[in-house]
Amino acid sequence: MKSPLMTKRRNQHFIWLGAVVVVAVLPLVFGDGYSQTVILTIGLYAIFGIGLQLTMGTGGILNMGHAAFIGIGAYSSAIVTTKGGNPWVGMLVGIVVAGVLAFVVGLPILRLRSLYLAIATLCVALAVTNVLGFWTALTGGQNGVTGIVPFSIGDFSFIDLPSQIYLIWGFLLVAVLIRINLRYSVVGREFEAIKDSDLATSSLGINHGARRLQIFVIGSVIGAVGGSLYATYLSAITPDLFGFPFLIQIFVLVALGGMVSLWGAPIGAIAVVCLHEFVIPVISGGNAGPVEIVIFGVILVIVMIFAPNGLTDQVVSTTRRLVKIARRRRNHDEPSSVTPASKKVAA
Amino acid sequence: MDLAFFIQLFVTGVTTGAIYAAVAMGFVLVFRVTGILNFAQGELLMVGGMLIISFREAGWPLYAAIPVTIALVFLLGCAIYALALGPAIKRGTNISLLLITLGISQVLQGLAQIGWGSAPRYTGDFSPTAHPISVLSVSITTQSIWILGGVLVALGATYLVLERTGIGRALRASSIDPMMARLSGINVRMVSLIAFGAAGALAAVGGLLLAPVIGMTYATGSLIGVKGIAAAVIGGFGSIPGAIIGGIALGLLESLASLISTGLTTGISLLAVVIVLLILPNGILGGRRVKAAVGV
Repeated sequence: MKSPLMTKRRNQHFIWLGAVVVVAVLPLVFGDGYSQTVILTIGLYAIFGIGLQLTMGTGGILNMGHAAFIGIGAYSSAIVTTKGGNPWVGMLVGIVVAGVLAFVVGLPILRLRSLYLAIATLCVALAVTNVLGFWTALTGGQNGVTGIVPFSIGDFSFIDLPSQIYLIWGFLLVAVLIRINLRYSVVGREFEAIKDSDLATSSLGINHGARRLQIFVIGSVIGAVGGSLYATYLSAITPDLFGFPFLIQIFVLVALGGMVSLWGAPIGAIAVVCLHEFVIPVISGGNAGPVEIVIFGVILVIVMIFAPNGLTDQVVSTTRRLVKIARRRRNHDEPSSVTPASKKVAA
Repeated sequence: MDLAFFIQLFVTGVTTGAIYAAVAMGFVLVFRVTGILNFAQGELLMVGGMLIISFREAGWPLYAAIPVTIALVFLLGCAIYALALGPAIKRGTNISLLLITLGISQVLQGLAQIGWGSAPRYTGDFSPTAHPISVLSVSITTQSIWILGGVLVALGATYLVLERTGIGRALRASSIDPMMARLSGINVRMVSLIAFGAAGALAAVGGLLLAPVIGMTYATGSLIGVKGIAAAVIGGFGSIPGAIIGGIALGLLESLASLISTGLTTGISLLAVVIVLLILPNGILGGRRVKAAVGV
């Protein structure tokens, strides 16, 4: 007898395989440069979103510093490659720096409630952008870094758009796989339990502080990997890229995609990138900056009022409840038609 | 590096700190009553500054412009609670409520940029003099006297309202135990509304006093808002005297950090906050014992 969780997990892996096929075909279907840029940006944002989803949804930590961790990944890549290093080394440096910083910043969570961590991450975020902007010797100051070398394996270098799409979406699929496995493992279920009650889980011998710290580090490292990919795609970065408006975009992404939904980050990424690329230019008619800030702010407020766990999660849970009500009503009307045996077969 | 130089640094630090204290006080007021960390607080300061600049450009005298600005921002604070946080507070989680206030701060920033443009806006000192007043070779501008006096009056008024009026008693009761307050017939929603409004008014006082000192832009608020949170944290989140001391301490710290590097003052002071959080989670006024803040 298989547990429902096992079946669900296998289904998720089938979906994952399907996603691989779709990703392989996508750049072939959309041949022109603009569509490919959009697809690539969606992939990047989905990676950022998964990192934030892990810390916020799974870990229950309000991470205001995610944009800064992405920035750390990006700047590590940029600085290492412009100094003549290998891009993969740059990514590794980004992972280590972001991981260590997340660990140190996250330490208070072993003792404190999430609100304090929100403040601590916010302070770190602003401190990081401040340092990136003013440590001119290393980061180039407000002018940023240019001439970032793209990733390469052997002689093959990820320069043209389709190969970059494959690279970024490849990383995204790995991130999704990590997320699926985290959800359907013992650790994942521990997280579900921690979210319900700190007290009950600690009485079961789960160290919720340590678990939260782990998820915070993992989420930040995924952000840093995304940042590293972002930097090599843009090939030139400035500190402003990783400021507050960017953070809000990722928050909107997670708000639309749902805090815990496994496929929420890609869905949210599609929504945010489409809003940014297609909807907002039409509405604003030229003066995009402030209009975009207002629209994203309004979306964030409205979604969080009516769906505190995110739009996708809300839709899923509402649908599930409606289906359950409908089924119960049908069973109530004709109790003879559904015997326990036929129910088992149907299941 | 003589004594006068340090006194000069001290004066600058206390002046900046007074603004932070006003903002931090607003944070603490809202947090104590509703358990919400209102990220839009800094934007309320920015709106206050922008409004007084507009009123003065329109030729209003100070005695008209200042009360109208404070009243308008008070109403804006009430509106934020009534329209966004009030409906959300029942179903909301910590994260969703924080994201709502974050969204509001973005909306206010965007609207300010659309309405008032992106260029910094300036206004003259409230009582302009040809030279700063010089006391014992320490020069003090008249505006920094305005700031210190104004913040002192605002904090004193808040204290009087909290301690001596019925509304103040209701506010204090709701902050101690919302359920008991409701049982004893206090309209907690109304009290929360007033707390948001009062926080807005305090921010407005900070903003209108600061307007002549710096060029106000739509982005001024977010940084000062974060500093206000930082000040509240240093003072032990939730304590009103702590917010004032925390604000002054942060201002002094920044003015000392400017000795190292003027560009990095923000970074240094914010890292100091992280260190305070690590070592003294209850702030400099609290003990080392970790106390769960109410409603968090």
